[in-house]
Amino acid sequence: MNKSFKFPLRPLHMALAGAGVALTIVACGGSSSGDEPGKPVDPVVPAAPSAPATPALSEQIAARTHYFGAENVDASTGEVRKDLVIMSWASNTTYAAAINGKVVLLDASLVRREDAPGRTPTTLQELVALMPAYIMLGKAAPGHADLAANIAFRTGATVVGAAEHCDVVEDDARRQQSWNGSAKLLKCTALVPKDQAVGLAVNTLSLPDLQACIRAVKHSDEAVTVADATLPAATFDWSLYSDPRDAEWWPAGTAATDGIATAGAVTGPSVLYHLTLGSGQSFGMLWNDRVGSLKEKAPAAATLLRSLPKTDVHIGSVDVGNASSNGLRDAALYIQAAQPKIFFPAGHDAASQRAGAFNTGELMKRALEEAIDNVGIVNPPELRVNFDPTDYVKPHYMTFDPAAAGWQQTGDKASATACN
Amino acid sequence: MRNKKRFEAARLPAGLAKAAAAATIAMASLGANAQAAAGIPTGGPTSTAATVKARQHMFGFENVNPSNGDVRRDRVIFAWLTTTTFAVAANGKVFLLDGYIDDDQVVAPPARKRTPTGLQELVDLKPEWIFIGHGHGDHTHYIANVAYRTGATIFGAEEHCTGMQVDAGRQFGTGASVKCKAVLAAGVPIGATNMDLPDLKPALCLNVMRQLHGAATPPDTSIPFNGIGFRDGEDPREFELWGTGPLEYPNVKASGGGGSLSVLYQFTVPGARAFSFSVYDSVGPYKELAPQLIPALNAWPATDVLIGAVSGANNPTNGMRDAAIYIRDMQPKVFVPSHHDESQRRRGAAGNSGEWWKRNLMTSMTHMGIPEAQQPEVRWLNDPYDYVRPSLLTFDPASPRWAKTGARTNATCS
Repeated sequence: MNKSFKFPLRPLHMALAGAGVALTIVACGGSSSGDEPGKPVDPVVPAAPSAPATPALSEQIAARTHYFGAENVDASTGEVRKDLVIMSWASNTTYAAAINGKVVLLDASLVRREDAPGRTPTTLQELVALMPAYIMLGKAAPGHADLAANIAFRTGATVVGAAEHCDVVEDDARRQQSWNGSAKLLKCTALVPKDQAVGLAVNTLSLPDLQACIRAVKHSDEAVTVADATLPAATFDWSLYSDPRDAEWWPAGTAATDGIATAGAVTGPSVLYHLTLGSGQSFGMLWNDRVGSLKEKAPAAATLLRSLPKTDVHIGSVDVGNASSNGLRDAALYIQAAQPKIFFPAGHDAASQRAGAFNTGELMKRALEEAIDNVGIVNPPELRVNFDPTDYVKPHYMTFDPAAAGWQQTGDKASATACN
Repeated sequence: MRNKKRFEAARLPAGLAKAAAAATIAMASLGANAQAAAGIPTGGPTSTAATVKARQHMFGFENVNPSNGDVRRDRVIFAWLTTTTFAVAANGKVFLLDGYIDDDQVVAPPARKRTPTGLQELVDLKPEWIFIGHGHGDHTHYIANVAYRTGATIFGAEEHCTGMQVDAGRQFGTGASVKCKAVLAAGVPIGATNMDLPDLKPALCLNVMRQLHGAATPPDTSIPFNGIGFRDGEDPREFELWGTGPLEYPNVKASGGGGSLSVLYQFTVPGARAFSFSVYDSVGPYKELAPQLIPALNAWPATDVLIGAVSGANNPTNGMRDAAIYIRDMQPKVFVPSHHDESQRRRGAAGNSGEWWKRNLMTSMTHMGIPEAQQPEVRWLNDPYDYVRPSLLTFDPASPRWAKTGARTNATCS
C-alpha cells in the first residue's frame, strides 16, 4: 500500500457517503466546489485518511483551460461557460465534459498513462485539477475506472454508476488509502441497482445542477464470435496500418509509478447513459463505453436503447470483441438503435494499441462505414472521428450548443419531456 | 507557393492585361458572344438544397439553416479546404479565402479521394466574396470560375483583378467578366495599407496591407539551425490509404495575374470584443527582404486569430522562422497554420506530417524569443484529417477571451 495516497476525508464525503440512493431521484451531489474550482475543506474527522492536497487554483484554471478552451473558461475563477456542452477526449473511452458549467468525467482512465504528459497529453494530476463534480462510470474495470476512486476521493466528486461500480470504487479507495473504518470514503450514486438484469429498465436520475436528466441502461459487452450470416461478411484487424512514425515521435516516457488502478473485474456490469441536457431538455447525448453483441446476447437492452429519447450526439465504443468475425457490426447496431445525428467513435485507440498498432483511425472509420452500410442504417450519422494522439484533449472538436436549432429535425425521435 | 511543374500557369498577354485592367470592378456577365471553353464547367449553384448541403458540410449542419442555407451569425467558422484556401462564415456572410483545391482529382472507387471537397462544392457553397492572397495558381486556380458562376465579388490588388478578368475571358469567352474590387492600387510598395474599407460593412470591417511573398534566404546564423525538409516526417501509409487520379478540372486554371504580389487581410466583427482575424497566404522572410514590415506589423490592429502560411521556400534553411516572426510581430491569441500540406505533397512526400511541422514552429517561436507564456495557442491542422472539419475552427466573437488588454488597439470598426 502506498502511503502517499493517504488523504484526509472531507466532512462532505462522510455526510453523504452511506446515505443510500434511490432510483429516479433528484440528486444534488457533485463536489463541494460549485461552478468554481474547489477549495480544500479542513479535515475534522479523526482517524480518517489524511488530507488531500487540493490543486492550487492556478492549476485548476490551467487544467480547465486545457480541457475546455481558453475562450470558454474564466481566466481568474476557472468557471466554464454554462451555455455550451464542451468535451475533450482523454483517451480510450474517457472524456471530460463541461455541462452547465460543471465538470463531469465519463470514465476515468488514461491509455499509456505516464508521470508526465506524453503521447497521452494529460495526467492523473490534471484530471484531479479539473475538480469534477461527477464521474460517470460505464464499466468499473481496468481501462475505464482505474483513476475513478483516486479522483473522487481527492476532489469530492460523486461517482455515478451501477451499484456494483460503487462497491468497486469504494474498495479501490479504501485499498489506496489503507482505510478499513466504517465510514465510506466516496460519494457514489448507484443509478442501476445491484444485480439488475441486463435490459430490464431505464433507470433515471435528475441532476438539476447539470440541468440534465440521465437515463442509464444496463447492457452487455459480451460478443458472439460467429459471423452474422444475415449480413455481408466483414472482418477488421486492429493491428493493420500502424503508423511507423509513432514510436519516434512519441517515445515512451516513464510509466506512471503511483500504482493507482482499479481492482474491478472485467466481468462486472456495463452501463450506457443517455443525457438530455439544457433547460429545454432538447439536446440528447448517448455514451456507451463498452460494446457488445446486443442482437444475440442482450436483445432486451437493444429494445431499451431504441426506446430512449432523441439522441443528437452519440459517443460510442467501437472496441468490439468480435472484429475478426463481424467487423464493427456490433458498434453499428448501437448506432442503428440510437439514431444519432453525429457519432464519435471511442476506444479505437486502446483497441489498436493492444493489437500493436498506432494511429489507425482512418481504417477504423472505413470499417465502421462498411458496418453501417451492412446493417442498413437508413439515415447514417455524420461520423466525427477523433484521431489519436493528435485529437486528445482537443475540446473545440466536441463543443456543442444545446440551443442550436440544428438539433431539431424532421423525423427525430421524440425528445424527453420529463425525467422519469 | 507555386507549383511550376503541376500548374504551368500561363503568362498574361500584355494586350489582354491592359484591356482587362480597365476597371477595378466589373460586373460578372456573359458577353453576347461568350461561350465557355472546352473543359470549363459552367452554371451556378446546383440548387438551394445543394447550397444547404455544401454549407452544412463546410460549417457544420448544426450551424446552418436547413431551409435556406443561412449560417448562424453569432459564430465565426472556418473550414480548411487544402493549402491556404478556407471557407469562412462570419456574421452570417459566406466567403472564401483564396480559391484552390489541392488534389481535386477523379479517383476511382474503391480508392478514396484524399481531398473531401472540389470545385462544384465551392460553387454550391455560394460565397459572396473571394479574397486573393496572391496570384499563383495554387491559390487562385478556381477563383474566376467560382466568381463567374456565383456572382461572388473578388477582392485583391489591382494586379490580381486584372488577372481575374483574363481568367474569366479565357474560361467563359470574350466579354465575360467577374466582379473584382481592387483594395490596393497597382504597384503599391510592400507595407502599403488600406484601412477600414467599407465594402463588407455592416457585417465586417476590412483592413489590408501589401506584404511579402515567401523566398529562400541563407540560414539565419543568429538563431540555431532549424531547417525542415519538405519530405521530413512523411507518412509512408498515405499512398495506400488514398487514391490518386487525373485532375477533375485540368482546364480550370488561373493565369497567375499579380503573381507573388501578396496581400494581408484583416477582418473584424463589429461588437464589443471586436473579434478580429488576419490572414496571409504566403510567408515571407521580411527580416531580410522587407524589414519595413516589422514596424508595420507591430502597429497592425489587434488580431485574435491569425491564419498564416507556414510553408515556403525558406523552410529548408530556416524552418518556420518566418512564420514565427509574423507571430512575434502580430501577437495573435490563436495561430492556425496553412500551406504545409501542399508544399509537402507536391515535392513527392506522402503527406500527413503535421506533427513534425508543428514542432518545428514551436521551436522557431522559441528561437525568435517569444516567451512560452506569450506564445499563441497553436491550433494545428493535420492533413487530410482536418480538411473540412469546421468545429476545430469555430469561434464565438462574444467570448471574453477576445477582450483586448494589451497595448494594441482594436481595429477601427463601426
